[in-house]
Amino acid sequence: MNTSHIKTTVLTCLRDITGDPALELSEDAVLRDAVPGFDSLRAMEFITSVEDALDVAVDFVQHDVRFRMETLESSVSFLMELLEDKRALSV
Amino acid sequence: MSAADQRLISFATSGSTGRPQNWWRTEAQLALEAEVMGALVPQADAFLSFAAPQHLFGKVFGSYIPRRRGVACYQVEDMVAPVAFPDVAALLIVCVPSTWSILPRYVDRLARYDALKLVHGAGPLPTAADQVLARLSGTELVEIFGSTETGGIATRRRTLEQVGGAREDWETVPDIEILAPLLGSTPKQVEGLVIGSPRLASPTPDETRRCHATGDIVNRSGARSFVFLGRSDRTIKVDGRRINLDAIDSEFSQIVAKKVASVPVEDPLRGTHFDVFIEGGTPQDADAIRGSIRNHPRMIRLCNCIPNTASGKTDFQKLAQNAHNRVL
Repeated sequence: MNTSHIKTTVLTCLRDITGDPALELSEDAVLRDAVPGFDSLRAMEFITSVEDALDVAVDFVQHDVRFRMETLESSVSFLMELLEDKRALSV
Repeated sequence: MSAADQRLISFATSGSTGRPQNWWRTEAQLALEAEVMGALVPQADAFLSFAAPQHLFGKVFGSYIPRRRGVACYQVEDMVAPVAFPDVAALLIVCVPSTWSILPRYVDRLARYDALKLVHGAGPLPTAADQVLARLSGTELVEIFGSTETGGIATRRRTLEQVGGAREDWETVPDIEILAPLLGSTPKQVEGLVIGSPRLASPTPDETRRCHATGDIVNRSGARSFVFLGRSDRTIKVDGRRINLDAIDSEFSQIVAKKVASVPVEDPLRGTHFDVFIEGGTPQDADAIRGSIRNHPRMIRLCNCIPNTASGKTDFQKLAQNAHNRVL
């Protein structure tokens, strides 16, 4: 899975949870500012949604998701790390 | 009563028109609320609260009760930030619906407590609670039924042995009297719950109230018990925050100048949420609503026609069924 696929997945998840199929974001847009209604609840929904979509688990103790998933770009980068870790552990 | 006891404190809630309504209590009433509610929850070395302290439930369980007991309460401000669990032997966690999406992520940490007690309020208990109970044997959960106007009215408990099974009936707390429905009502008789209580808030600072029609539709199952069936008005609680759907519909229909109808839906994170239907709505209408609202719906649905009942009113039941079936 490459970053382009992850980015598409992340955007899809954001569109699903906001109910806005036309939602577009720049790479460096801060999600809590750029996504309508992106409060803590919506952030939790977003995290759960990408976990389900990518079959990964976000560790809230090890990772401060406020920073790791602050923007579209950082979210994609973080999720790529999780997928690579998962792949490495399964070898 | 001392001057301090008579000091008035208000908590705001969404009124029927959507404008905030203040509900007033004296300091003495709040102390009584803490005394009565405190008697229902076990002892703990510390409290950890996910409930907003500006609301009654969060104020009582996150401040008044721990203060009475001389124990610290740690407030969770941001649910996506790492939770700092206190290093104590026995912990009591004050939960709202969204808490149950977080606790499963910390099961390993929670399992290290000698005693873990959970109290839940401010909205329906999500099914995720059973998953947490199943993974933390010996944990006891107390649910609180109540409102800003009434304080805690009733409780029920949930343990590992009950996981996967039906919820118990609500049992009223000792100082609550059920005035309606009458005892002896048949299971088919559903009525609005009316209670007598010394802990009722008042809509104005200079008023004292002893009875209150809650707007909850219940079936009375015993002298001090009832089954909650729903609301008589269109008020829901979204993660503890009260939202009046009539006010939502009015606000949204003014924005888009079209017929709008909102329906409640179950939500695993918030307990309850709502979908908005716009009759003849366009994507621009949906954008206009998203851009202006404080209370964001789960989904905005554009439909050709919002169904009416035979009497010409919006058929919310059919709409709710459409929402459940995710029909567009």
